[in-house]
Amino acid sequence: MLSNETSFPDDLALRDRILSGDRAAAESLFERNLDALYEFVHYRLGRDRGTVESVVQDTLLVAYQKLGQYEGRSSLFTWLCGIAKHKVMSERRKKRPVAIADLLDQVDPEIDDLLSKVASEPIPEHILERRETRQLVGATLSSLPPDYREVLIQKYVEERPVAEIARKSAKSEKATESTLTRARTAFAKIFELLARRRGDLP
Amino acid sequence: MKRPEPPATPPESAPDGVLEANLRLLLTRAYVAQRPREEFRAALRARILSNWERRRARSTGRRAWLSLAIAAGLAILVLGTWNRGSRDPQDANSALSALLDSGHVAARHAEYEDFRAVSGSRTTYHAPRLEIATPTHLEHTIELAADSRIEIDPDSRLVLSSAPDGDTIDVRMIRGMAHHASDSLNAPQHYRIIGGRIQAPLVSERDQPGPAVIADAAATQSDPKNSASPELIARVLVDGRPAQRCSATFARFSGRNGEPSVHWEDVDLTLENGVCAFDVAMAGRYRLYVSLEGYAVAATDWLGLEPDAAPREVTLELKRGATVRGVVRDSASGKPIANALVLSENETGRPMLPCSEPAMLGFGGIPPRAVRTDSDGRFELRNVAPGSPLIRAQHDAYIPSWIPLSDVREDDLRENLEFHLGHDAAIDGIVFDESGAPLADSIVVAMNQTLPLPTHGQPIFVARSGKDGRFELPQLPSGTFTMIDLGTDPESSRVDLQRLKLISLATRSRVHVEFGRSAGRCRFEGTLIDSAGDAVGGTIVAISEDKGGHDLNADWRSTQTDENGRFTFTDVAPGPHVIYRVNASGSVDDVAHLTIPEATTHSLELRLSGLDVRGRLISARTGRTVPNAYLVVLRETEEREELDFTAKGSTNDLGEFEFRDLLPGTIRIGVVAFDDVHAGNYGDPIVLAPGATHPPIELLARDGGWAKLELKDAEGGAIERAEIELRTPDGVDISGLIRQHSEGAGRVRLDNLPLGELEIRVRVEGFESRTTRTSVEPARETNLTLVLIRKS
Repeated sequence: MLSNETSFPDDLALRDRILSGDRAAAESLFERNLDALYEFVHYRLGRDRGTVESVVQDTLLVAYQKLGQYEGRSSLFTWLCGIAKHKVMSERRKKRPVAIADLLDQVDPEIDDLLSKVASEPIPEHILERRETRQLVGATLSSLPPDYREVLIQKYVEERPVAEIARKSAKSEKATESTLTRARTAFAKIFELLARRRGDLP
Repeated sequence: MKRPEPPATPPESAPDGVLEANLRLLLTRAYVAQRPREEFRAALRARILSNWERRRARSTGRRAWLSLAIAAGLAILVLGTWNRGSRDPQDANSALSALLDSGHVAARHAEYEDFRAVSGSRTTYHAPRLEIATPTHLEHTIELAADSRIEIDPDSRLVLSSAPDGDTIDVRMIRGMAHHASDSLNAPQHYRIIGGRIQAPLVSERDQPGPAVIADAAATQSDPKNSASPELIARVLVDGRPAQRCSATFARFSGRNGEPSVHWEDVDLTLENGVCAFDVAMAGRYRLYVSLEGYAVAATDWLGLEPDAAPREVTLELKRGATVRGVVRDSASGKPIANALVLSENETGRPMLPCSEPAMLGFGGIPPRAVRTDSDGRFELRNVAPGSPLIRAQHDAYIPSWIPLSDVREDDLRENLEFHLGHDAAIDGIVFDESGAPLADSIVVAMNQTLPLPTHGQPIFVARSGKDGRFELPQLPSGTFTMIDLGTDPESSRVDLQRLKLISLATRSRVHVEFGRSAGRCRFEGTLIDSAGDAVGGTIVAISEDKGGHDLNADWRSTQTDENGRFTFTDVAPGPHVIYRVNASGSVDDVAHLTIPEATTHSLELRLSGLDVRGRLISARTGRTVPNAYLVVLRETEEREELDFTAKGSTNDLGEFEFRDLLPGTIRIGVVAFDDVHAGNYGDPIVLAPGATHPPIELLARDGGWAKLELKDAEGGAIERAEIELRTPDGVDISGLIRQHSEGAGRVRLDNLPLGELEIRVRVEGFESRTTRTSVEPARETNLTLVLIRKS
């Protein structure tokens, strides 16, 4: 867990509102987490959209059913991902062993070596649009806390100014800058970790 | 391939600017948002919330949301497996397309993740590769609005834009490129659409609605949350009687924001007195296809289904179809093409059926009614739907071809159809002399190194450069070519191996090659020695820019070592390079990775390990050797289960392979593709000890085993229409993965079975079910006869 927070009062409050029958809160849980959860599952299960949807659906159904068991020891999203992980593992067990072609697609230590230096060296142009790079970026984003992921996407994908991001999230610009910095660092750490693990690099 | 060296000294503190810049690049260039489909979002939202409401209501005694939950549950069941593309126009990875209905050209992403209409609006598609396919129309050249143009820009982006009046479109169709080696193929700059007709002009503004078909699609949109589900009631008759069961494909045509698309769902139906009701969840245009073994496919017209309307009732009658026989030949040589796929179009319900087998995987696989030609190129297609069927023949090394039939009636026999398939890949280029001026009358030879099948025709192609030094080799098959410029007088001059290149050519692609142009200012001198320290003479070595990955680059240059193992590359561009050794078998090993500095002479001694592995590849199906199969060597590592790529190669015409100078350790040789299809299996581990020699091995190319099942009743009568369930010893139901072919008279052939123990359970209406176990072995057909007992 990259966040320094040890309790999640906002998430606990949301839980309590849902348990007390607040429909808007129930909708909020769904809207806040669906996209990130979908990406989380997608990057762990691959291209089969039907399977991804099935796992996401099962995860959310269980989550709403067991919401009373959420105790705020992690963020709600992390808790959702925990449920999803079990279902992803269950799906994986049903599948055939990985084909050689897939293995070859996944392993390219040279690329992973370059990617693992994301924080210190410019990434060469020629590997930016490689599948290996795309997979790593997706997997990294899907592993970030949703607020980190959201702020990175708003800043770099949607190219929104910090002031606008702050306004949208009802935070101060300073707080948003701070979140952005933490998100960048978290991204780099996870990205490096995944690249090194995948490329089997020291 | 060698591992990169670990960084010497990692930076103590990362400069924020680098991370910032990298993040910006990664998230704009490499990030692919994976968003849930709008239908899924809406249906799931409804289901989750209604579930939640229902539980809450139950606890408080209220039941207000129960009916909504049931409705939403039905909706999600229907929506659950529909393969629908992303609607996000910004989604860089959804550069793809599909457009069924009335002859529109369609393109889709080579990774089969998503598709999108090409002809609906002007859009820039970002994709490493695109596949352009057509539905079912016959034109081999395309007619376009005069101001239309499709281009692929140098970054492989598909751009639709205006062009001068009368300019013909030149859009090259990229099929699903050969196996996974496709990474090595450069996306051509131009695309030609083969078959099909763009009826809609390509409009010039992004996301501007296109022609009538778009409006039609847009008009069918509905809000799944608020609409009552429209219903379709289908009555299916077999030989005039109500059907008990059949397979069905349910296709829905829809569109939003000018992006029409078709989604489909395959279902196995158990019918009640021949009737089945479909709650289709949302309004739209639907088409239902039903099929049953031994009968022709029957389909409805496109049906507009509206919410709150009375259920629509249709009747489909399954009839015996026609039989179509013919032969598929190479258009150049006239020789038969074995293993070509022949099918009747429009029987699948898919929005389009790509013209390459790898691409078909993204569309539900090869249609079950497709057949393959035998070694004489002959085929027989049974149960073809009466009317005007369109028969397609295709082979991944050729351009597909179609033959339309008319007035086909039930039980007709149409014979002597003759398909002629041609090639359309090409190499063009220019030859320069030593001074850099264009060289006329130079002879350029291209030799195909990897002909996947012996029927592909002439393996050597020759062209002579014109006055401007340009040459062209049209109508080539796909594969890896060795190209050499022999100069103007090849008989009297020594062949300059510096003018030798390796080219990977995809079907219908065009590669540009230049001979003799000065590439840089560096000179690289190397010496190749074997493990004992002796010079390795007469070996072809190649140099290529190191672009990462392990695929062939088109800029390879080769030379041959002299008797002292020395070789030289002149005019090498500075920068990272890989030195390869090209073995006689066609396999390629990387020998060294190095960075050549500017304006220097670079020398290096390259030592080989001496550890060779050779053997033969045997087909598990036929027991014969397998020529021209694509192999890889993978290395086992202690740290993890996955395997490292080490080398690749192919079997020769005798099915033999050889990998030389492998590094010590444990390897496995993988059979990636053979007989022109994916294999994806690999042999037992081979331990390579330093200094040891290894006897030749026999590697099995497995695509599974197969079995023939004969079903009889107690009197010896044949039993048809059995439901066959297959389970592995650990209880996994694999029935859905196995193709079952009825061969008539109660005989069923089961293809691509996993090797080993298998449990087969047979159920037939009116009989006691029967379960048996068998063992499936490679290179041997398993025959089983089961006698079923009638229920008392």
